[in-house]
Amino acid sequence: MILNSRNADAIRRLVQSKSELNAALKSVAGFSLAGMLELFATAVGTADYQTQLQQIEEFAATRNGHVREAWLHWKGPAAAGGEVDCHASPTVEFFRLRTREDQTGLPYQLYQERLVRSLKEAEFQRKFAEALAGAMADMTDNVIQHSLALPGEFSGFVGFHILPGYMAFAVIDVGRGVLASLSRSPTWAHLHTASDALQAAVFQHASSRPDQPEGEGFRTLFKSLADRNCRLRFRSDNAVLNIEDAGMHREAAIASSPPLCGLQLSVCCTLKGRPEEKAIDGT
Amino acid sequence: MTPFCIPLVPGAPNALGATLGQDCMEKVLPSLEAATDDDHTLILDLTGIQAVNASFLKATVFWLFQCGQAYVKQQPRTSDEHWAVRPLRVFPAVTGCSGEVMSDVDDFFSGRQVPILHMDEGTADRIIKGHLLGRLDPVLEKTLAGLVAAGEATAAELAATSDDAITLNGWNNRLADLHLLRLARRRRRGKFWVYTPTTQHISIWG
Repeated sequence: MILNSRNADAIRRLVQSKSELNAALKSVAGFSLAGMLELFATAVGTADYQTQLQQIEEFAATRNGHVREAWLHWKGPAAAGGEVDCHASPTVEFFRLRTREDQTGLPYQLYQERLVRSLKEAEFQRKFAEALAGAMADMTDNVIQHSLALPGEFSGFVGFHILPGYMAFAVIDVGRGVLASLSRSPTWAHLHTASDALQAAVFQHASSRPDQPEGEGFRTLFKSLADRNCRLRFRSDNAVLNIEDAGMHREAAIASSPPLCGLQLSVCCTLKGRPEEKAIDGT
Repeated sequence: MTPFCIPLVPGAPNALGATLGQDCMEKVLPSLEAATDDDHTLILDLTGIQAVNASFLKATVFWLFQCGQAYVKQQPRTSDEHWAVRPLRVFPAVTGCSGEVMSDVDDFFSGRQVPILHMDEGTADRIIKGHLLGRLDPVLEKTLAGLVAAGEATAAELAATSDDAITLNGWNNRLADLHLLRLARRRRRGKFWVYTPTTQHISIWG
């Protein structure tokens, strides 16, 4: 099985029913970026199921390749970027956000530049590549602006995955989630479900800032990805919203998802064919 | 009254996101809040910036624009939030925009139906030459051109130089609108407002 974002939902359902996970995890032959990051968020964000979460942690830590690399970035003491070749054009790379400086500092600027470089090498036009990097930066900015820090630090993590004609990025946090964030705003205080909050944030650009009831992040995301053969997934609390480019229009589907705090979003995009999450590691 | 300029410099090649914008603003906010007796021009220097986005602009120049408007409208601080809009005697502008960044700034302000001044030439304490990005109503554009030509003027003085068949009250309203849009300063002279454009020479971009 490829552990994509949909299967990550299934794993979390197993966690929350306190089921044995080893059999399911053993059947994982590869990971999509979104699936892997949602699995990590499950391990960090649902602290009540120690046995199951320990199984995920052990699984991630002993796995070879990008999964282990990402897990160590996520859990390790140092910020990502220490061993990175600043001028490379990697196909997979991760960055974590614990402080405001992680969002604004040079290492993250260079990370964005590497994404643009990798996209251009993967046949994406420069302007589109820059727009995608800008959209990603706006999504990580939301982590700092809206997710609310855990004691002392934020919980953001971002990764990208590039193949010829294909790109994906995912941004996750295990903060307070969209509904709790929007409840701060008088304009959006009437929202009472995660599903409504997610739709308001994505479609009406709802923002938690009392002075500015509309935000720019999701607007920028859609502007950058409009008509670009992309698939977007937004997951917060117990709701998930999937949006796909369907030629002349966009198709959106809201559904329930096993509860998890924070916001986990992912984007995948192909220059040809249907946008589907692809495996970053197959072992 | 001596207007003075405080440059805002993002300090990163990609000016993306509200967090970077807020960090940029944090450096000038104390001096801006402390000085309540004078007008300030805050110029966002985008020289060398490769990309800018709406979140960044909203946290910097547009936030300043809203604070300046709050001062004109005598609106109190809206909340206890750190970045709540509050009344400030501020006239925001941008400078150093390259082609694509210029387009992005123009798009951002056009989308909000308001103008922003781009400084093309200036000194430490004033903008000498600039052009407008965003959107300005053609009537106000013409009024601004008249004000720039006059250097400074009251509504009556501007009316005397124009063939427009509008009342003195109409001229007052136009000038007050330019002040609200942060394109003209004003000071009292007796019972009249004397308006001065924020730049000595102006053109419309595009």
